[in-house]
Amino acid sequence: METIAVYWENKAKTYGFQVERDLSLFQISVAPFEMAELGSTLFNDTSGIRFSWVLAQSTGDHQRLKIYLLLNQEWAPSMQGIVERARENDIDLNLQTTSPVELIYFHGPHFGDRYGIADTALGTLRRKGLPIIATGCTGASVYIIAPEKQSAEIKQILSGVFDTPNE
Amino acid sequence: MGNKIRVDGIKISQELIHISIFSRPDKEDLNTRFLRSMAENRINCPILFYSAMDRRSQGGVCVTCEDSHRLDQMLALDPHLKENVQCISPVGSISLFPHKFSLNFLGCLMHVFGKTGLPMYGMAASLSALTVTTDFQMVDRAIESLKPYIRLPLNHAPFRSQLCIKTL
Repeated sequence: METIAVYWENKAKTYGFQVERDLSLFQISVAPFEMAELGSTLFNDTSGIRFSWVLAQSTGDHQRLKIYLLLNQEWAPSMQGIVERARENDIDLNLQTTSPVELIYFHGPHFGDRYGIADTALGTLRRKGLPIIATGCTGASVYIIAPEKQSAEIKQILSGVFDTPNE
Repeated sequence: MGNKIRVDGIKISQELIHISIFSRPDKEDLNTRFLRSMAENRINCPILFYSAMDRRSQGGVCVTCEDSHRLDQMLALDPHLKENVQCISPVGSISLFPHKFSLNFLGCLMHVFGKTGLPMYGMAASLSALTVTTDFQMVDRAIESLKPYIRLPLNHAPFRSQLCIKTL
């Protein structure tokens, strides 16, 4: 059975923008066949670390997987320790850290079912020349990682192209 | 490996096309151009990955296979964009929730994919789910490989949605 509904809005609605600061972004590069050892180290970790966000992308030649792990800065030393423990399994891990960074995220109704959301958010920011370190969009969520002190401006610009509830 | 990870639900997508877009730092950001073309052609991307920590930025976008014809038409009109994208099809996405921002949850997923040799083209977290893309034909094998490591409720929802929403 097919149902057709017609809906129009001047701007896509969101549930509001959230910002987190003082974060560290870890880029861990690993060969796919060595991901099991890294995963095992994370699976067995007992430090209680909670990530703020995570993204992974296979490189163009599929020889490496790049994992971007966003954590509160206070977890940075513990994360370094985890990576060192993973390396004890004799796997080739490359680690790069960017700190501090800031996170802006928001959600909206049916974001994953509608065209144009990514262009409205990310395209607008890029066309205004704002730097974006990393982004992930899945489900109804949009997550943007920005350099230090950029989140306020990013939030302001996004508030102009999305409809937000009165705060 | 530690205790089983509690998972309340798993969602599997329909067949998708995974498109990777590569841009050089001294050249035009093709990701921005790609997203604008997608919007103008009314093509939805339910999943998007983007990173620019290296000298070369990399974007990844998934579209449904139903939109492949419109995607082909869009790229045919922009040869420069077309020569800088790489497509893998069909892929499928697997979303597990809730991740509770747990490193153990993330590690479990990575361990299973690495151990079983399943390709991981991309992964991203939303508010509650971790979503991974892999070959569509491997999706069922991925679920079976994860089962020994996770605890699903007996009355969990079907993995495949019976409702499909499409924006015209």
